Amino acid sequence: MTSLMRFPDPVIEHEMIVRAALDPYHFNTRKKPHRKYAFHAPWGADSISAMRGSLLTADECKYNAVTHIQDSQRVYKGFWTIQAACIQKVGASVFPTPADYEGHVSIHYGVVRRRHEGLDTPDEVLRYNAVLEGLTDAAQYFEDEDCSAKEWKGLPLTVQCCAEGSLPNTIESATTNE
Amino acid sequence: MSASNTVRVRTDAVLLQARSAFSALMETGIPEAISAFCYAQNSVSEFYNSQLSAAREHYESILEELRDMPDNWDGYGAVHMHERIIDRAKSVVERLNTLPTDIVPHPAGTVMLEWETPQGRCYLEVGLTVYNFYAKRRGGEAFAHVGPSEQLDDLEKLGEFSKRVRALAKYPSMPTGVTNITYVK
Repeated sequence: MTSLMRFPDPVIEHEMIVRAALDPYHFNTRKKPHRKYAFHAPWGADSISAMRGSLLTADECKYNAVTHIQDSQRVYKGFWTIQAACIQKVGASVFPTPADYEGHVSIHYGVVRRRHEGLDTPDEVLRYNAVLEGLTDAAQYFEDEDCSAKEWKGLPLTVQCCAEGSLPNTIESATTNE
Repeated sequence: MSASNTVRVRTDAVLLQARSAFSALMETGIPEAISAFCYAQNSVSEFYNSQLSAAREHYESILEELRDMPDNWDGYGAVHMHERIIDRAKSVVERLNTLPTDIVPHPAGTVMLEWETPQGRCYLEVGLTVYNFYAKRRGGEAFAHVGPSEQLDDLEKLGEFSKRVRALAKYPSMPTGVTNITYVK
């Protein structure tokens, strides 16, 4: 299978988008996953990184998270899943950015934050929060029960459905650990 | 004894005083009952003020911890907290009657004071030159305000925030917890 066939462009609305959950950044002091942190856009950019969970296997997502994202300051713990339609529904957009690595996508807020500053207009504040709240409401967390294993060891990755159409209410990842 | 146990014991003590006030009303007449009720009310007020003061101190210590966060504290290139932002956030916390339910450092190097209740959510984000205020009642329309950070030194402006924050809570809120992101120095 060629890469082009496997990773069509653009992202379709029924696709599951996966974002790595990293400790300590995405967790509170009680070590519980904290949704609001998981989707905050960094300063100087309007996007956050994610992966195409319907096209990559859960094992491949884990490989990407451990290889491309995890480092000495942030430790991979699991995944957030969200449907592409949910992202679009809250006013954000999701684009393939395979230059980073195969299956990589960027979720765009449409609002760029400046260093040490709040947002500049009430409209930007409303837009940023509509996206943040929409993403955090729609996202589901899946814990990897053995982060040191090469394979995904959590529950099969599924996603809540926001897309209209006749597809089932949940879409499973391309493969699971079952 | 844990903090929650302490709160429960103190609350029980206040309830006990209210009960004895009611008994006094039934047994000895109105003047004694009023006196007992006043005593109970003062106890509630003292109790609330002591809790508020303890919570305020706790928040101030958290803000001091945020002051020490280095650049890249999240591993995604987050910015350190600017001294002036921390100072201003502390000054706001000192003057607010309805304390935040959470204090969150933002990767952009700003501090967010958040209030989240079953009725809704709002936050005040303190930046170097600009602040953001956002409030949304559950099922209602969102409100946003942006202004120069110096305005946060204005008591009247703080009163406006307090009004909107109180609208989210049936009772004056007490902190439910402070989110403190750990980081690698």
